Amino acid sequence: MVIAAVVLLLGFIVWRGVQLFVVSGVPVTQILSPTWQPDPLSEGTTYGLLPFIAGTLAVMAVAAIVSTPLSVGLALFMAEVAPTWARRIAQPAMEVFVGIPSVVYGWLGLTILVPFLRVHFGWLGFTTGFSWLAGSLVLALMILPTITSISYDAFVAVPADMRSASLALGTTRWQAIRHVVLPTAAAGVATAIVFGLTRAAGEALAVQMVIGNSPIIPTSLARPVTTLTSQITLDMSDATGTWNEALWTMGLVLLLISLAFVLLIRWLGRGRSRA
Amino acid sequence: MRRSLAADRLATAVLWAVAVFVILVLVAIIAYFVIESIPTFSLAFLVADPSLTDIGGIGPVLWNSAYMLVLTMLLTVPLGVLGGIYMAEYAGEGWLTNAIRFSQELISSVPSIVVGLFGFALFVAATGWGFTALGGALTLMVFNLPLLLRLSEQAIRTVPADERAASLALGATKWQTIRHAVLPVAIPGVVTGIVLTAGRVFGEAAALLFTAGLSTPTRYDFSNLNPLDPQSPWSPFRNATTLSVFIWKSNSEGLGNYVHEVANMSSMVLIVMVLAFNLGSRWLGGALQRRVSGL
Amino acid sequence: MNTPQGASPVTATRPTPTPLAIASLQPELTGLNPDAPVKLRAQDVSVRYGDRMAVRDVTLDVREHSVMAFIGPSGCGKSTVLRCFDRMNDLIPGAAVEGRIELDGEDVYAPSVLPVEVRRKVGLVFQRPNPFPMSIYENVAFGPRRHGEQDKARLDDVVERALRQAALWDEVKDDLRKKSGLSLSGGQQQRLCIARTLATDPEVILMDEPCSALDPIATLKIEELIAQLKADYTIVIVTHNMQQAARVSDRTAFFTLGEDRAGYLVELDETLRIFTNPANQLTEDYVSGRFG
Ligand SMILES: Nc1ncnc2c1ncn2[C@@H]1O[C@H](COP(=O)(O)OP(=O)(O)OP(=O)(O)O)[C@@H](O)[C@H]1O
Ligand SMILES: [Mg+2]
Repeated sequence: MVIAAVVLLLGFIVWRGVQLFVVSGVPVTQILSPTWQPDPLSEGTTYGLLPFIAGTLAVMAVAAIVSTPLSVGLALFMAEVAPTWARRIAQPAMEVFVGIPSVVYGWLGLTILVPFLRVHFGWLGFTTGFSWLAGSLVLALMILPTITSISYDAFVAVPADMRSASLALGTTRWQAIRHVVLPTAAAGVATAIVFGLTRAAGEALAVQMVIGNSPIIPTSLARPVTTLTSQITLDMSDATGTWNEALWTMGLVLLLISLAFVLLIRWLGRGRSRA
Repeated sequence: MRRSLAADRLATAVLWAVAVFVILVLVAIIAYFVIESIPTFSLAFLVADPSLTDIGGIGPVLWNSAYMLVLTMLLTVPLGVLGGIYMAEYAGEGWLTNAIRFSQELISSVPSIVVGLFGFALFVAATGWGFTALGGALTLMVFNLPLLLRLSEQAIRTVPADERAASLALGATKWQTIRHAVLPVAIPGVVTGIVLTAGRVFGEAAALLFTAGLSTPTRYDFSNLNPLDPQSPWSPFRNATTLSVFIWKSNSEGLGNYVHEVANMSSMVLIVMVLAFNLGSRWLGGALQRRVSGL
Repeated sequence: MNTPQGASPVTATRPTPTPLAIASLQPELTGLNPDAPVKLRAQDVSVRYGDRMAVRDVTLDVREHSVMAFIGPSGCGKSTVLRCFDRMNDLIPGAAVEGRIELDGEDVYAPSVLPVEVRRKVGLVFQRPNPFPMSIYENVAFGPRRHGEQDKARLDDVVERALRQAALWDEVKDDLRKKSGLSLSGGQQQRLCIARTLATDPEVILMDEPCSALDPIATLKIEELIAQLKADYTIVIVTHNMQQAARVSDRTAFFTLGEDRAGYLVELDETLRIFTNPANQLTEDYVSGRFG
């Protein structure tokens, strides 16, 4: 049943995703074009998905760069440093974090972050506030609990006697963390980051609300860009014909991205169980 | 020596700082919504109809969220729990089990907007239903079912082997054993899984945009009990904008003069609901645990 | 027989112990030097975990370049006392140490003393072998590296010497860097852990049932190792194996559980005496197998 659903879903998305090429005869290479001109009313349509793919990857990457140090640090704190009372605060707090729905993050980004960037960093080029950076910061917040909880599990899974062994050799706690706990848990932390990336790549609404949605190749953190998910969100309800098919192709690309992440996670997991 | 001690102190301080920072951000988020909501919040907001000229309320969308929740769980729970029992007790280690697990992993990482696309094509366009609560619920099922399946499988697997062995040794059949020895012990975990899954229904929006619909309902006539009438709030064949979708919509469309206040209060309500689900699942799981072990 | 501390000829000439050597042990062959300075001292030491008193009022001292064995029934606090000497009890939440622990006459628990410093001078070999998930070389080089040694040639040297001392060199020298410490057998892992401790150049080595997971051959190797190490280190070993205590140690401390379920030190004496003519009835019952 589950398999059937997955096969159906995959088959369906693939089938609809290739319509663009098969039915409408758009050359496959055209999706790598940087120009997105889907409107049938304008002359000469171009279905270049490069801005969306690049936007998705760019927003995701910066989100991960911002989020990873914070979340891995927090996980280390909870697993290695926190006294019991602090852990008792941090753990439920993480659950609350996970629980906050993505539209709420989006709404926050829209009403606080975007105006903040516009007012205080306008001189850096944040003319509207809607920007690559805004999208990445909102995402960073959203994937923080994901990365934290999975890497926390990885740290806790490091046997206690590894730490004692290091400390008994006269190392400081940080040396034990840095040279024993982190290397031992590395595969788990990598998995956590990939999980975070998966979530970041697939998140639609929160990003759409703050990113500005201009189909251009991202070049500046201060400029509006767009992503696969947010374009689907925006256009799905009124795009028809070839335009609509192009949206399905975006869905297919997203699917392939997450498939790649799943395979990556499996591969990381296998490395770990072998060690 | 002195350097490594300094590094240790520095690292400890940094880790503390990170933790305090993150927790403060969280507190700030929640405090923001509470503070922003207090001046305009009233209980009437929870039940009133949305309005273009006044603050109005979120009665209908809240109702829709609850409705979607019940509908989705009705579809998901029986299949999810039975599937979990199968996976924990009957499935061996064959290629089939492997394929199921891989499918679970895959589907849990498929972006919800893609699941929404799929639901749109299948339950909205192909069936000719249009945007309906049922279509939305079926779409949500696509990723809630694997989740519940996994959570209930885990809950059942944690039942100690001796409980099983003891029952089997008394001559009980496999199903009797599951029914009387395994399930009662696994129930707290399963219930926690159900409540966690339910919490996600409340928060999900992307998958519902193109399946349960976006229109803002104005007034519901709860006396209309005909479940097939698309005007009836009881009907699964009607538009059902949920609270999350409603918040998203307020950024793109705007409802009137009070968009800001309404969205803030709605966010607060949503957060409170999701928190209630999380805490509720812990509490319920714990309470059931005590009952079971008390028996 | 009163050789000054340093390489002790007494140790060097000591015949390889055999399981039946207890009765044949001669006092002059035990290597006990009553004039050697006290290396470790416990003065009225009590340890509690939370509310529960684990061991109370232990007073003992260990002389330099001698081997002290801790014996006694399970749960009487041998490991607990052992962990006081290198402040590993600090890591256990709720553990509280009272009394005074001295290393070279200095209070190990004084506020100005850092646990890290104590643990560098006092190495600990755990009951269960716990090599790091790294290559054999990295395992042994771990301590020196953390303590700032970066010179490759010197590290190579330290690693080789430690592995030779731990009688592991010949078995692993060909794949020092290729093989993970975890891929060794249990006995080899334990010797690797000993080598890892030796490489940090401690003054005292504490061993908590180092042979409990090992076969008799590996056990014998470790016992021989202890006999050699005594020349350079002060050693405290916890063991459940009476014959082992008799074979390797100069003095033996017998602990047991009191009526209040807290452990205490019953008797501390020369090993030969503990096993042949103990002063306390409890000790006699224990070593002759009538108890525990
Ligand atoms: N980490 C701990 N937390 C709480 N109590 C502990 C801890 N470690 C030991 N204890 C308690 O302290 C008492 C002494 O334990 P200890 O491990 O020192 O005994 P032992 O003599 O080494 O026993 P064994 O021979 O079995 O190793 C025991 O009652 C034990 O329950
Ligand atoms: Mg012990």
